[in-house]
Amino acid sequence: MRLLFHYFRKSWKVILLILLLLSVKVASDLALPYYTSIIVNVGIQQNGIEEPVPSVLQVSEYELLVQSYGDIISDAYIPDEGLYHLSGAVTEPLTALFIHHYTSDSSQGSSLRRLKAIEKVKELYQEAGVDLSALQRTYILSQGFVMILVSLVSAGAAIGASYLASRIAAETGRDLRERVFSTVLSFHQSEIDSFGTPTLITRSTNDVTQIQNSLVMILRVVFLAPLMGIGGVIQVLATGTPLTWTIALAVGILISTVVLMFHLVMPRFRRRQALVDSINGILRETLKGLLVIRSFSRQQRETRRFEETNEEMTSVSLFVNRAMSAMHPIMMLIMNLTAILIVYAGTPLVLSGEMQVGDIMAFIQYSMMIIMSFLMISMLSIVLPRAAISAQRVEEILKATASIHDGKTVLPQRTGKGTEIVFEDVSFTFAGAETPALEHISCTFAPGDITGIIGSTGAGKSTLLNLIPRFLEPQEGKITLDGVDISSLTLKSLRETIGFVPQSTYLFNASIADNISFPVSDAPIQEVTRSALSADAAQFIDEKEETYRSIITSAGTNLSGGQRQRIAIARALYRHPPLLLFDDSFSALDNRTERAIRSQLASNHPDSTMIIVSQKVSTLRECDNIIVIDEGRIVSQGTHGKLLRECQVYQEIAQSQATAKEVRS
Amino acid sequence: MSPPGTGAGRNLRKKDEKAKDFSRSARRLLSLFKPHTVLITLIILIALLASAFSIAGPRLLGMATQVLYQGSLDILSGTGSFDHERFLTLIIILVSIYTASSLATFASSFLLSSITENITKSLRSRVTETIHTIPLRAHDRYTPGEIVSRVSNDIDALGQSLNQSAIQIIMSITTMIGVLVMMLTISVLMTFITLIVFPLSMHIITLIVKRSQKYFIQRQTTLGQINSQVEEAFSGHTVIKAFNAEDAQKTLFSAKNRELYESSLKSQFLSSLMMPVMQSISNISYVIIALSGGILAVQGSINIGEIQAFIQYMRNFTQPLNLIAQISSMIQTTVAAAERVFTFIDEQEEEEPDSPQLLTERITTVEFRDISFGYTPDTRIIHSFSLTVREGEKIAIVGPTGAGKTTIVKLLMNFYPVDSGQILINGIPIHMIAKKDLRDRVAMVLQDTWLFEGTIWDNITYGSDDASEQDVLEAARKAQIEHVVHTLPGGYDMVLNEDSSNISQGQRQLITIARALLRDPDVLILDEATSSVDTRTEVLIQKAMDNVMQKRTSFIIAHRLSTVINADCILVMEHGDVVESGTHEQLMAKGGLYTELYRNQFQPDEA
Repeated sequence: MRLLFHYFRKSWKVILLILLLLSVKVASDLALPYYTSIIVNVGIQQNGIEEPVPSVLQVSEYELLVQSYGDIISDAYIPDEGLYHLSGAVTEPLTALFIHHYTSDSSQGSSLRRLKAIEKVKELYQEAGVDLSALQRTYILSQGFVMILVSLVSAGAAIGASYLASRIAAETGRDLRERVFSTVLSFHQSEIDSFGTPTLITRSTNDVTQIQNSLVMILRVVFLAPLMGIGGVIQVLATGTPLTWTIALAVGILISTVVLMFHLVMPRFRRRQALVDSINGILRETLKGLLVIRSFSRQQRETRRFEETNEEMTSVSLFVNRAMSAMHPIMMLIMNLTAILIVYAGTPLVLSGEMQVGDIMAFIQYSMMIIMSFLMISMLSIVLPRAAISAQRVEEILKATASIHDGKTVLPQRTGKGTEIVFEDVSFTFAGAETPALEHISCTFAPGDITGIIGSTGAGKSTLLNLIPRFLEPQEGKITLDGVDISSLTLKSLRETIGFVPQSTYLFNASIADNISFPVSDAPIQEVTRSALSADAAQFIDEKEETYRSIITSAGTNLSGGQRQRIAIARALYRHPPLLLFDDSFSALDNRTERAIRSQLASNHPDSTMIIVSQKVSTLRECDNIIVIDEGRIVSQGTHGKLLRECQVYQEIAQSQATAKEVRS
Repeated sequence: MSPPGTGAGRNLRKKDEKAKDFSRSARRLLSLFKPHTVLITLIILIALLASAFSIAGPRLLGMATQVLYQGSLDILSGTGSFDHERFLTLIIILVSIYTASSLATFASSFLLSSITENITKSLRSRVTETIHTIPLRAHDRYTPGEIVSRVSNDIDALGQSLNQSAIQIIMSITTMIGVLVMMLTISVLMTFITLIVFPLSMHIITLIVKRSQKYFIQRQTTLGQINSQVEEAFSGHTVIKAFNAEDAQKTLFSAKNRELYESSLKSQFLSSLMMPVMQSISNISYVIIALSGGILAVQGSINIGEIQAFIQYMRNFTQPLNLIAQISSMIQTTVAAAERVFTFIDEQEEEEPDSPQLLTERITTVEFRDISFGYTPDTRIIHSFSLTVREGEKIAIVGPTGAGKTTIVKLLMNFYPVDSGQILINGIPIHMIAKKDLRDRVAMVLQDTWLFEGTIWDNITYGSDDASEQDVLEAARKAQIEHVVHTLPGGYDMVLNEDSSNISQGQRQLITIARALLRDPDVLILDEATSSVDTRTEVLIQKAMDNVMQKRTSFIIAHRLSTVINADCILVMEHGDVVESGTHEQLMAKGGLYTELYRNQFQPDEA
């Protein structure tokens, strides 16, 4: 949640503006019931006669009034064309005078006496021949005009506020996504592993969207609801009616309902999300194992396994849906019953003349506003925890710091010569592992040399290779590149010197050319072709319909494993790096292709230092030096011939790959 | 970048937001409700009742206030008194009507949700069934992500919108009709005045909905693109690091992210326009109604309570209007989602023989008789392949990548039907044998291991539920996994994670080999099954297997020639044809492709 507040602080000016606009909206919304009520009360009921003071008097009536009240009347009315017109504004004493004059019975409530006086004025107007319907029309039109104006102001403020809220939310979403993305890119393998790639993907997309969506709601509702509530309360208190308890009652019931719902539904909501995950999981697994499932005739079993989850999913969703479908009718019921209660409780007040029917109507509108504001707040209490979960998940990523620190030294421009890599007593242990993956490794990879690394599965070959581009960081010892400790180099400059072909080929969903020149796109085609030739990939690429412009599909279905591996090799060669690392990169290639690539490498990259990890003796036999690793230690090194004579592990490996006769020969 | 033209799946992956055949899919969607006709009728009746009640509400409340108003006036003028009894009756009726309305609303959506959940559940089941029953050829047209998305996104969206909109459509329409009737009973003239505003608001609604829908679709599309960009960047993390491509990736991402910002801002903003705009329109109508109502009231053709009620109705009238507009766009996407699901579940099921011939005895002969095959009609992978294998023989298939080795296996397992020629098992054509029968006797181990989330033990016993503990341990021993398992935490009870990335690829291959051996098959196929196993372990596995397979047939596909050297027959394939065959010695004597392959791998150290 702190994450969200950070963004709020950053855009406090806009938020202030939203607050202002929302206040305008609430103020105008609060004014609206006043207009709807006077349009009915004054406009319709009283024919637009606002005050019990006639603006026109007939001579006879005027004289009668002057006789009784004297100057106060003669000062206010001036004669014109046989009638007396009210010259100034309606004053308090004048109103009191007319009410007293027209309603003698002082036992009745003031509001009723006022109404009665107005009724009298209406009669007077009719006698005087005033066009009552024109009067009404003018009144409703003028008040209606103000009302529409107010509602337009309200709409304008609301639109402005939602625009700003949408903008803040969209900006926050954009910035968060950007931050999460670059944070993850700065991660190292250990951080990626500790989170897991799938959750990193969900967090940087789905969770951010979740936050963005709830942010709009929060920005609008969090400010609007209290403003509405407070405004409604002020208005209700201003009416001075003793009906406020009805609202308190309604709000009380409402809050308890929502709290109950919350406790009932939330755990199921969480469960439902988990079930969505597992349904996806089962399907993914099934689709990956399609061939195996069929070959074991397990289709029905797999369907049953899916059905179990499907069943639970259905029952949980059913519960959630039913609970949620109860929400709407309950809310409607609370609101409707409150309205009835207000009318009922207000009856004595109307009858005693303390209130008018229009006032009751206005009171209902205000109380609906208060109830709505509480409703919004309680709905928020369902939205907020879900947003908070997402925010927390995103925050975890942003807080995680890269475990490998960047160095400061920048390597001088390379001169085309191969680099020298030296391991000095290097040990490495995977996090959580008991035994080290590599122990006391000391070796030198001489400039321009081709070095092979061989050993059984899990011996630590790949681990050793991954230490060089600092994908992994050794706990002990150091690795130098041309005499400089690689941990003091900037990662950028270190990796610029390395051409890396990873064990599992990863290609991007882009054209073959862009994959080879990665990360440069639209590179000069001659350069791309040259690398493809060196990787023995040019022939099959040329056979493709769109040659270098063919798109590699994300599933990689349009290329065979060997073709993919060759593109990965071309990619590593593209930059002409002084150091080339091959991590079991020829495994999917047949031997002819492999030999072709190796001879291309020898002629096109004679100066590059190369390190080749392989399980095949045939791949390594021509290397300048072969390092044999077993259980994390270097057991021997030397040329193929030397190792065949001296190293038992190497002999065993070689023997298992060929008949004894061939090995000996 | 050129348009993606490769791979048949690519064209299908294009997401169509608009349904291709709207009315057909909509009708099909409706037909899903057919088995529930009785319940649906009941729901509609209850919904009608609910809207009738909620329509009557304002009218009755208007009557009550009118009684109150009249009473206060009568008391004022001293001409009468407040009709307390009538007022109380009205209040009681009101309370019961509102309660009944809420109950009915709840009841109808309660009942409906069980139908919609039922429908979505059976759709989910149908998709899973389809996954298992359609031929692999059909699967080649979909990516796994697409199929998963059909269940998790499309069916989910379908269920949610059915739940929300179905009841709302019913309620909105009935409410609108009812409200219209009520308005007419109050004042025909005023109703017509209200209806003048109707087309105006309708026009504005559709304008806003159309625009926001456009940006919404744009937003979803960009979101999808960002999703795949992120997926790619995080999956290819190592490559990006190795090639210093972080900045290039960020630039790519930023561009899409900006697009997403634009479209999400616009869609969000436009959809938030609806409320205030509709409120303003409703307020304008209010003034117009009040004005005309006032005039009519002066003429005495209408009373205050009726005006109040009319105003209430007018507001009720615009509300469902609003809803229907929103729902109509929802229906568009719902039908599109439904169509995507239908297309998948309509895939033709794999054919099974009408009267399958039973394999009564052990498999003794496997014969490929002049078969040819291609995954797509225009690319032939296998040209004319013939081979007869007898009991106890060990057949190796070697050759460069893309030669069609794995394809032969897939044809033997009857995953794909051959285009011409025949595969005969014990003399019976393969298409006459029930697939289950065939696959129960032929076990296959592929290079790409497939293990599920579960214990190692469960993974080994997959497909052999009734295997005894003894058998399992024996199979594990033969697959050389026994001692490996003991070094793992938990041994056989170790739970493999989703991608089984908590063990090495070599260990994964050993488990799948143990699984195949446990089935005690007549025919065993190993397709690069030991490619990640170090060669020393591989020799041990082979020795163990040679014992097991003495009376059985095995097919071994491998790059490593050391794996195949002692096979009874080695087939050398190139471009879908067998170019050479024979034992190792015979082939070496020939000096052809095999010799060349062999030399490349085991070139003697002449120096």
